[in-house]
Amino acid sequence: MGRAICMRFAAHGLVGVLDRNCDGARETVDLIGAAGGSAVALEADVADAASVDAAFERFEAMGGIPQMVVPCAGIERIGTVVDEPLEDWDLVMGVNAKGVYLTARAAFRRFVERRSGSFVAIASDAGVLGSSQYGVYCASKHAVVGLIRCLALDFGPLGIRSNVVCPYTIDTPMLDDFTARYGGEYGGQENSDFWADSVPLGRIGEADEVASVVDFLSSPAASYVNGSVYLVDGGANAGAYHR
Amino acid sequence: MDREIAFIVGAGSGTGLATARLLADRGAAVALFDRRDAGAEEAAAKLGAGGAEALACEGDVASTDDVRLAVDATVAEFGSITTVVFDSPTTFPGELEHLDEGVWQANLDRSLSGVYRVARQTLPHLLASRGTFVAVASMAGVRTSYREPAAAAAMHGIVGFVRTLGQDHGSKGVRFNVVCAGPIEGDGDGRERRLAAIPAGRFARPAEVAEVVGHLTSADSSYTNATVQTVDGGAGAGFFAPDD
Repeated sequence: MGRAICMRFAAHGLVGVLDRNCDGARETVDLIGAAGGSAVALEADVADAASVDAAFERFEAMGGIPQMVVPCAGIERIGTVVDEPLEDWDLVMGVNAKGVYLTARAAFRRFVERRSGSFVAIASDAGVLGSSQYGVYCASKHAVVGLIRCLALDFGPLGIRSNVVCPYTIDTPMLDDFTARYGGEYGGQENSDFWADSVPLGRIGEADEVASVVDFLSSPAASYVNGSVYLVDGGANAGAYHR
Repeated sequence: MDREIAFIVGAGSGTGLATARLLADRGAAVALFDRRDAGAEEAAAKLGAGGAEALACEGDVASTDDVRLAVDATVAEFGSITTVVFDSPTTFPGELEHLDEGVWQANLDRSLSGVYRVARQTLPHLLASRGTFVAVASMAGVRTSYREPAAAAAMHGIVGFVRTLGQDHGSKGVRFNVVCAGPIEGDGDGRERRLAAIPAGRFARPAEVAEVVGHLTSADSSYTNATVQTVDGGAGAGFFAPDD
């Protein structure tokens, strides 16, 4: 999903591709280069403040100006409060919640200086509703939604906009990782259509279908959109649904 | 979708007109539906003079016949309908004491029931074109509407109705979404107090709401269905206490 967003952003200028996985970031940079854009890979761990700050500084040293910032790193672990390993809390909150906070911390200092900027966080439908066995993940994503709303209130008067996109199941490496880790049996289902069947559009989403919304929200066209929570879920969270 | 053909209700002024302009600018044929003397004729003429395919449809959303005739005229003129936008009325009578049953009914009739009529009449065309439907409501669709309970009732009704249509028809390729807009420049009373609660420090421009409608009726929102998208300058994010 991050890569899809980078590909869209390449139309606007230099893209800083921040990832803990530098090989992945370099691949994205190469893809952008092949498409005629320019990008730089920035290795960093979003759960580490010094690492995030250093990545922003490296980006600026290379001539980048962070104007549209999108924290998109995410990690998914499931279980109940009774059986999920304790370490999951720190791991998931560290990337999903603290990672957005640390990214905001670095981004907004710069936004405030320039009196402009757009921040679009990627949360999840788990940022607005619960989900079986997703307690820790839901807590982390609700944290993102709450943080974004406050950023919108704090910096809206400066013309700096903060919004959050909440995707449902999207065809990404995270979904592959989930299926590999949990055997595709979440909810007692082995059926590969399990997720698609829960969506009124009848399919899981593509990464670019989220990226296109992020691109819109980051653009001047969304000039009055601030503090908004945009579900990109094919209708999955509108209410009880079955095919 | 080969050619975009939009049917826009409330297109004579405000957000509806801004939406008609935006869609025409991106090459859509536009049918502008509004009441007599509400501006649709002039707007369509102006868009036509600018090179757009534009049709004015005079009618009242409170009339099933008017809506049906306008939908039929649009299809007769342009061949189909791929995009439907309903811009809801923005003025409602005040507190409960002012809401005689006739007033209550009349207000629902041109808001919530208007959405019903337009959705019902355009659905066959949207199913055929795998099109999109967007209702523009106000933030009263997700919050209260101070001293305007009828607005909150109508807008919450529109939100629930349109999201359910998205569930019911999403698998057939038709997306339905709602835009909940903050106060628009020029609407209503109590301006100063409302302004103080908006982080943006100003009201929405019709063109800014139209941009969100434009996004939701474009391929860029292909996985966005049965949702409510707010455009309110941050006012709905929570309690706002300005710095100074």
